[in-house]
Amino acid sequence: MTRERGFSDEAELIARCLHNDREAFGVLVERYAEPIFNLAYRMVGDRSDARDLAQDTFLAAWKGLPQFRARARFSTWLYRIAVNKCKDSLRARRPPDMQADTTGESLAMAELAVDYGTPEWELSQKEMGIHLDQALQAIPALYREAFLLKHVEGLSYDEMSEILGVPGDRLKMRVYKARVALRRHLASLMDSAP
Amino acid sequence: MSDQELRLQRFIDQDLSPEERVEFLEALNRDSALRERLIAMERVLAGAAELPRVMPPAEFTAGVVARLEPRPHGLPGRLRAWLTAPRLLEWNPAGALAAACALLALAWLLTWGLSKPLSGGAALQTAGPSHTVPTVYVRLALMNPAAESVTITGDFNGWHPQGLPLTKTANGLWTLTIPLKPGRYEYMYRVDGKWVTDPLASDFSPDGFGQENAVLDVRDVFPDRAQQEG
Repeated sequence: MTRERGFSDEAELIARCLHNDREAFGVLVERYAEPIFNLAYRMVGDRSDARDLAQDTFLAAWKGLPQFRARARFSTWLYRIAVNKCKDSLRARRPPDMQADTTGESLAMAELAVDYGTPEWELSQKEMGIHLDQALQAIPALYREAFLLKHVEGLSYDEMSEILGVPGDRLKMRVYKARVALRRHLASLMDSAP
Repeated sequence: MSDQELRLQRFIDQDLSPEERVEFLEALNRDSALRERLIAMERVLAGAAELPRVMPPAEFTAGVVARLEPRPHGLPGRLRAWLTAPRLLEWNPAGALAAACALLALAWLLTWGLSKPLSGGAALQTAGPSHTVPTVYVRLALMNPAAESVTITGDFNGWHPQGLPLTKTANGLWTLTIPLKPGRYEYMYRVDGKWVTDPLASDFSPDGFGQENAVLDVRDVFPDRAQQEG
């Protein structure tokens, strides 16, 4: 499906939603459930909380649909609602435990230094993803949010600026700082490895 | 964040000019520690690409649809829905300040202005319309007689590593006056290449790396205007 057809398809779906067509809204939910759920999960680190936040995001979108400006992208608007829901949730929680996972199940970075392209390298990259998941919960939420939108959801700085209402230069610094913080957290796993 | 780290980050984003890219690649060729940092950073990004996608529960969509409240019919219902619908309010500091000044002016008018005749007293001037955003000239100063160079970098110049240079006076005070729109700005000084937090800042914000950015709140200031009766 081309992007243009996607936009006109969504415009039609939104128009039907405004006439109480729940099936049309169900199509939109199905389309965006995964990215919204993933963003919420990576932000709050809990599957159950992520489900509630994702549901609240779509319910708020249904309620606020009459105010949705058609010239903006629906996905951008939905991301903005999701980001705000996640921020509200994090503000209401205690800060997460900042300790990196140094249990025996953690793999040392040295074990990840294998030859590029080999099955061992591919496995080490997957394991890197697991450790990265943990490291994401340890960095400030502001940096986590920027990193997730940029490198997990694959958004451009312009799209992120539209979602977060923050200038691109400031967003770049947040992403840079997130990357460096994650690199340091992952390196600490290597330092603490037996 | 050091110049070199910032350049590494911009290299990853393919945000360097051709000349900067060549300089960075030459530095990469000379500096094994820089190469290791770049490789470690690329691993982080590769890890991000490998992060498993977490699927929502199977009944997620059905659960959302089941909880959708029907849209109201009829004028009273639609009016109530319009009044209670959540909105994403977009604002800027200048607009918020203008609204606050307007509210203050209204409060003054209701409590004091109506009870006393206006006869030559100072009148409270409200902020201008939001499209005439005022410029405030802010003078920054840092006392450091021993420094050879002082620059400032922050939100107002996109955290450009080169920074804006301060001028040294005879007694060792470094100063710079910059025009800013009202708002909140984070910044740091660089004294002989080293990041320094402004000790005289009224507020601070952690930068996530053990240091603090200084915070500058620029507010619009309207001088009282005395009205003389003719």
